Amino acid sequence: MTAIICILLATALLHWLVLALIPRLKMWKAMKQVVSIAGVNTFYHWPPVDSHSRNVVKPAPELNYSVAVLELSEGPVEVVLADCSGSYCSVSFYSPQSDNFHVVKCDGIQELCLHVCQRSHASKSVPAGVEQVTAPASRVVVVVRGIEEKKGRQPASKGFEIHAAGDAWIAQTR
Amino acid sequence: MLGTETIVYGLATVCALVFLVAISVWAGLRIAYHLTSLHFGPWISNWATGAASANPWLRAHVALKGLMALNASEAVYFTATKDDEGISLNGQCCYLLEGKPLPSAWWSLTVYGNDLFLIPNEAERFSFCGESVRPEPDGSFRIYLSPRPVGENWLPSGGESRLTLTMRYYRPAFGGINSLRKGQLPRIKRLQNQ
Repeated sequence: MTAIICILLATALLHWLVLALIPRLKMWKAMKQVVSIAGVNTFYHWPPVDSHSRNVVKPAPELNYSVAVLELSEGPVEVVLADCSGSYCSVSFYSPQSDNFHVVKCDGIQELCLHVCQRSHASKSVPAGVEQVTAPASRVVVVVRGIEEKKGRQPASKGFEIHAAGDAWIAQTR
Repeated sequence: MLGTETIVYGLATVCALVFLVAISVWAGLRIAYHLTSLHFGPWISNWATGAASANPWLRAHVALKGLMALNASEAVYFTATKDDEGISLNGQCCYLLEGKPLPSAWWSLTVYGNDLFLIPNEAERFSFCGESVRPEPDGSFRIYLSPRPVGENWLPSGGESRLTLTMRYYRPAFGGINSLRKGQLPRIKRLQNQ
């Protein structure tokens, strides 16, 4: 009887552990893939989605995807998008456990500046025109989605930059 | 030195544990997702998709079947794996998807194959959206999901044995999924086997 209770308790414990690990492992794999291609704090513009695309299940074929892994352990970074074209464009942020903790609408915007920092580094005074995004972890993912106007098209924004907040360092766009 | 009996007992316990965990996770993902989601005929949606408030089963389900989904403030996803009769969608059959788009900034209807990726087809067509679908005079749409060309709005199913449909509404303007009724989402009517 004791053995059965122990097995059931262990099952419950492992059940929760597996549930917690699934999203973290999937995100870790996706982040590793982006970092291996573009490094951290650099946008990677995914090729147009078609039937050969095997990166993430259930892709939306009409959308452009630009993805970056933001490393915030060294301090806040600024994500700057310029001249977002198309009828739909959004910037979304994901935690390491896959939660979409922030979304910004950006279609038709000439320039969007997002100050991304960990909660412990959140600033009470953010310059005008800059939106602060507080991240729940030191490493998060940012995804820019835009509607594909034509096949073989341009990314959703004409300018993608990520740089250390208050620093001149600017990462190159790939 | 461990006795043979102890080793066999230990192995049996580990096997039982692995089996129980695998079964409980598999069942938990299916049951909890269905219990905590809203059903509109064959369509299923969950308001907590992508949100930090998602329960662990939903979060794991989304990670496996739609990683990096947007939260409901930006997009609402409806998924169907069955037709109006409750029969699993089969790529060998012809279906009529008929409905009127809900108010939103943008919408799309995409079909996926067994592996939840886009289905290869000569037309290179994987979905319809507000811009690509040819609407009826009343603003509704009639999309034919079929392995062979049917009508103007033909969505190739490629003969896949199992299909999944996903309807996306970006920046929904219909006041949340709780206010929706079954008839407001597209009907999925099986017309014939090919």
